[in-house]
Amino acid sequence: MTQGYITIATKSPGNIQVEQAVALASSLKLADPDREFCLVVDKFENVPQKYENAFDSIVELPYGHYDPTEDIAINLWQLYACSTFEHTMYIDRRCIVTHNINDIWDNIILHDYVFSKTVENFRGETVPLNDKFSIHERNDIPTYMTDIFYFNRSERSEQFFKILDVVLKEFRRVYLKFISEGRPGYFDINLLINTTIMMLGEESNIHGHIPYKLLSLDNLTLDDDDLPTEWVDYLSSWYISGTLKINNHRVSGIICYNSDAFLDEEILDDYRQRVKDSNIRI
Amino acid sequence: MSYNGCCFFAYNNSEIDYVQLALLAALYVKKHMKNNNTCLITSEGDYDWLESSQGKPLVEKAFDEVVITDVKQEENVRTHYDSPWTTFDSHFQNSNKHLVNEYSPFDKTLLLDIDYIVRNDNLDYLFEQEHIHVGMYNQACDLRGDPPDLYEQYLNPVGVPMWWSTVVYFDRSDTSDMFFDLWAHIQKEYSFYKFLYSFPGHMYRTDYCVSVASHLMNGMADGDTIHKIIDGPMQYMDQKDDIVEIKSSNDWVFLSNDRNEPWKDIVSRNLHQNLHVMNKRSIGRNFDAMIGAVT
Repeated sequence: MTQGYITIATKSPGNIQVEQAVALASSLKLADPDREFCLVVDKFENVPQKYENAFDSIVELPYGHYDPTEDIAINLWQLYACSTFEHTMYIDRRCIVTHNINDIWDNIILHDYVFSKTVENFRGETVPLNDKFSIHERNDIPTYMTDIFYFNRSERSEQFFKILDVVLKEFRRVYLKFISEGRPGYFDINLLINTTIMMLGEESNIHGHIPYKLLSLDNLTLDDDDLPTEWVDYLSSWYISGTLKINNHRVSGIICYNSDAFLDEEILDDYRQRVKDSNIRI
Repeated sequence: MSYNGCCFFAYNNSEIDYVQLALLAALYVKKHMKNNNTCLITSEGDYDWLESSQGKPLVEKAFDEVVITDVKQEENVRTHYDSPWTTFDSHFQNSNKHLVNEYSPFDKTLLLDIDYIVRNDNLDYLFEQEHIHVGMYNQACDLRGDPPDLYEQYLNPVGVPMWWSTVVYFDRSDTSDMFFDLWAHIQKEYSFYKFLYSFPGHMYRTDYCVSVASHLMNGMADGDTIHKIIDGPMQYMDQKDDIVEIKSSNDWVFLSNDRNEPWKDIVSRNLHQNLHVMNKRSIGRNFDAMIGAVT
């Protein structure tokens, strides 16, 4: 039974999306060298040659790049067709992994698909994400986290991705039908995946858990009303050789940094160099 | 069979009779805990005052050991509340608290602040668990069960969690030696750590020292090298609260003040809970009833 990781990226200013995927893939090669990593892209040419060897495989979107939103996540429904694994963990490209996660795999492969109900902040505390889920709660939509999820090859998973296909392509009509309170004018992949879960009647049938830390200001209790939109503008972060500290607190495990302003050349180069030094064959 | 017990630091100042409070706290330990040997750490003058004010028999009943430490103290001025409407400043002496592992005569020690009143035997488990080398509370709640201000939960709102030095359990081990060495180091380099961890205030605060030491020893993360006391959260009576009635040694009635609307109080009955009684003058007002409940 093959198990592996998948993420999705597309052309972006400064190639930031592909570089984020390179950092993620490199961190996984160091933490979990036995599982393969697949990058899904809209076009092969969007991956600079120097980064190609960061991935075990690069796959083009089989049904083309549907792009009315500039958010590559609108193609997430194609993951089921893209994945070459029997057991697949999707990880948003804006994540890094610092430790082996075999224990998580042991748990999730017991299920057809897994979305996490909770997420930890940088201190490891489970705090509700009030802003992120305010629309969900006003419209009785489930509130699963979607930065990282798991699926296997099964009829149930296939059905999920088939419905997700329609929901993502027709997201404005889905909003009209299901979101009456505070309907967003933008593409919200988390809201749409949760709407799909609701449409399938699966709200209470998703079990298993993928623990991860979400770096955000939304899951911290703060006494400051004048907050920036990006956590990197409020919290201090240090990265040294695979160790990440936020405000002097060491953060480990699966970390979703959730910001295009976090990954810099120094971090990316360090990850690539350490993969090279460790002689991991890709 | 190890020799276990509880230690109390007490140095009087012009406002608060700390040795009197230590006597009370020790008698509550005697009443409610199984590991109830007690040790008073104080100065010679304060001990003489305790004997003359409370009488030698009662002092000997309260304390099995007395350690005299006439060390030069770095004084710390602290503003206390007695209800929302009265404040007073006192010189608070805590600069040698980290030396308790040198002073303590016990193999396993529970260091208690003199305003921490033990009213059950929940803390006895600490002495029975060989894997626990250092233990403290890292959560607190007031009489209503509400968490304290954000700055009492973390060293700053986006900082590391607060650990409370009100109750510190330790054994004789390398781990506890390292903990107290770190505490001493952080005290010595207090300004540096204050900058690094961004904690507020001008007063030297041992809670900050143990918080940083715990954070470091737990691998700069949420670890378990330093044990989180499971009789938690640590319940406290705020300085703005007051004692209404002492019904028995573990049945007390309070007025709990509303932090947001200080002209409002609610009556709160507190049963069988260990309690950090932060309004020290309220202890003084109810001293006879409190001591009567355990003697």
